Amino acid sequence: MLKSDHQPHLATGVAASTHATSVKGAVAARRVRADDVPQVFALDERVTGVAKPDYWQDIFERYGKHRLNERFFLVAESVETEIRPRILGFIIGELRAWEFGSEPCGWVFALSVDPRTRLLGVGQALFDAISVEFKNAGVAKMRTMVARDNRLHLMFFRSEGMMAGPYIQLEKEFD
Amino acid sequence: MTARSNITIPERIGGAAEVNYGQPAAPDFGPLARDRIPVRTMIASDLRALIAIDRRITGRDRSIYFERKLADTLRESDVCVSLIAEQDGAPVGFMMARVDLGEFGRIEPTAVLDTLGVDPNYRNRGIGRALLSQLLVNLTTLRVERIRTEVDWRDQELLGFLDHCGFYPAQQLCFEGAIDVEI
Repeated sequence: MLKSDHQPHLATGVAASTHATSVKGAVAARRVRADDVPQVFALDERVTGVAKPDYWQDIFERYGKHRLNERFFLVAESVETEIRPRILGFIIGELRAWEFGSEPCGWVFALSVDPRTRLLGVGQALFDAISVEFKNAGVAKMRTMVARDNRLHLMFFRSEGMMAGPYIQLEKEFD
Repeated sequence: MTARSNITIPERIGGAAEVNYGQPAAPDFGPLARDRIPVRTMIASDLRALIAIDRRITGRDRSIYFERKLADTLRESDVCVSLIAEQDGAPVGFMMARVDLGEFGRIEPTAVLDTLGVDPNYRNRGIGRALLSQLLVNLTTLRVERIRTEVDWRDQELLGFLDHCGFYPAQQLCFEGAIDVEI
């Protein structure tokens, strides 16, 4: 088991008094647990507007319970227990190696932060935490795919120093 | 042309020509390739063949990767969408895919093609097309309406193949960064 399984990653949150929910003090990122899934599911529904309970249960089974040395489903929570909702965001990634010959690398494929706690360091804590997981797993690069019109994710990943990568996503719709 | 006041309305577009029912079929690569090349669902005992084909292509031993991928395909997927093409009774090509739902808020089921290999001795015989064609048929029955893949822009051969098979750039941008955190 990785060291980071036991030690939450901490990031200092900047309190914003104008937000309905303020995150005072630190945000801790840790591995997801079964009792987090309803909150993750609710957060995703709030952000995307689409309820996907079966999807989230499946994701938890795959990324929260199996092969945890290469799959990382992390959640962020306030260290202050009275803060509600407890789960402030989540990030999911995995090691992908040799797909179409590519060198092993960490891929982030989901990231979400509660809209009421944005700009408070939650995304930063999650990004840092999964970076540590990837580094512990032995990779030196991480990648992600972001929709061209998703300005929020574009700005976040750019602000974290990520640059245009060498991959092109191709797709085909069935006739 | 039909003249009417000051505008001209074309009666047809393009030159006059009879429909040639004897000409080659439209570039639907699927049915013919599938008919000629047997394609079947991947099974556990294909592992050695996968590794051998891949070693002939890449010159590397990626046994661990294929063991993991095959385990994913056979045990974790609800539906097996990975295929093997055979010639002379032996595997000569493979294609591995998975079905995803909901990455970054996507809600429609999408198949992800991530591994493809054709034995170098059987290149240019329609093996890749047969595999892809069968994969699309299988996915259609699962009500998956889209397939995507991620390719290094320098991999001209793979890009050319996928272009020929009707893939086009998606509205997604790849971001990459070095991991420089302190542990």
